[in-house]
Amino acid sequence: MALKSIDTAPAPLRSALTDQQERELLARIAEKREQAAFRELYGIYYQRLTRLLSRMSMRREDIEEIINDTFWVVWTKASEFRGASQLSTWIIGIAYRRALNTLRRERLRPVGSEPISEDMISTPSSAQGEERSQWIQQGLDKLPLEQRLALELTYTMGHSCEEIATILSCPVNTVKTRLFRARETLKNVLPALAGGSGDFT
Amino acid sequence: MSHSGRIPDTHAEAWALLPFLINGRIAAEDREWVELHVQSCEECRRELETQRPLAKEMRDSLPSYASSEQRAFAKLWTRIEASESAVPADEDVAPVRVAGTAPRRTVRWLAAAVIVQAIGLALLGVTALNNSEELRGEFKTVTNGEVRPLGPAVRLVFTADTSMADVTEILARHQLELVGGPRGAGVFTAALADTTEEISAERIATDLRANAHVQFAEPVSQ
Repeated sequence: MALKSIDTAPAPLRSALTDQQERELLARIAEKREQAAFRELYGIYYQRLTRLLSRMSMRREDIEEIINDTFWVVWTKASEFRGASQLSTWIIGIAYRRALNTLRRERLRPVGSEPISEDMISTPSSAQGEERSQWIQQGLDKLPLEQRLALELTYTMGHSCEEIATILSCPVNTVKTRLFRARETLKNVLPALAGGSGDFT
Repeated sequence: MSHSGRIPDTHAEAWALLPFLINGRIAAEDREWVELHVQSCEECRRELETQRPLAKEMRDSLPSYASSEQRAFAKLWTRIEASESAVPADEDVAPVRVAGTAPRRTVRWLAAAVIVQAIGLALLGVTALNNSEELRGEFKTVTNGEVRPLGPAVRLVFTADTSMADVTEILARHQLELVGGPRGAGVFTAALADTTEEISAERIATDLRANAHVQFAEPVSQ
């Protein structure tokens, strides 16, 4: 029986490098304190972390600071990475925990608020794309932070269930539960989604 | 057809794994049985049709800060160099050169640093004259090394375009006094002027980082 009939979505936002290649960059950072390797790794994660932190409704200045705090850790602790997990889950996990600390410290509401400001560059190229983007964002804003992040890490960043559990420091079954609830909630708050037509407007 | 390994083939478990079928990260041992289940389950097929466009929209929808990556990295690299050069005391360290920044910028920055240093020296001089009894043994000359401040203190680096007026305003706003620097990479040390204030060095550093003229700010361990 052919099993290729179930299409998957286009490739998520993932690194162009393999985990092994990223580890080689980290090794150059740890052993040679090489700026070029550090810059390359930073570039690989900058957009991904920006997106993830934007989904957490972080303010622009907080996003930059959290990314830089994260890579400060990468620079100072590079030699301590033992490879128990993928490098991506280590880095994203650091950023996630830093973001949680910032949210707690600033007592920001993780939902809604004023996440993104003037110098953002909007990816959707058409008015219709912009409208869909807002529509999706409004739905996502209805989700608790952990559910929203589970969805983001799955659909946008393309992580496996086990990787997400590592990043969020929770059991695999918790990831599944959060995704399940997120999907159910979105179908309620975005009825067109439940219709499955793909026409969201 | 043969199936190897674990084949739960329950609807609930397949349903839970659909997002990973969509993003292509479902475990190899689960893919086959989940795909088989989906082919025979109308509900799961509908769910796939619902989630697939959602996944696409999520990837396509979020704005990004594409323009700020270079600037953000420069800021981080300055912080790293400042931190690493600030550790050994009295070490003569060359000014920070961040990849991608022009030499002219460095010259401007140095000019600003000299001005700021002059302010710091003047402040220290006046303070020492006015309170020589109280501060004896606490303050040394700036060139002799960094003073151990009495209250919360931070190390900070100003951006190249920071004027003397900006520095004065920043120090006043945060009730800080320059007590050391500039050391390698232009790192100044500033301490809370009023030590009776109950504010931590971490808080001061966080507040300073929000200022566009502050390139780097870190609390000093007491």
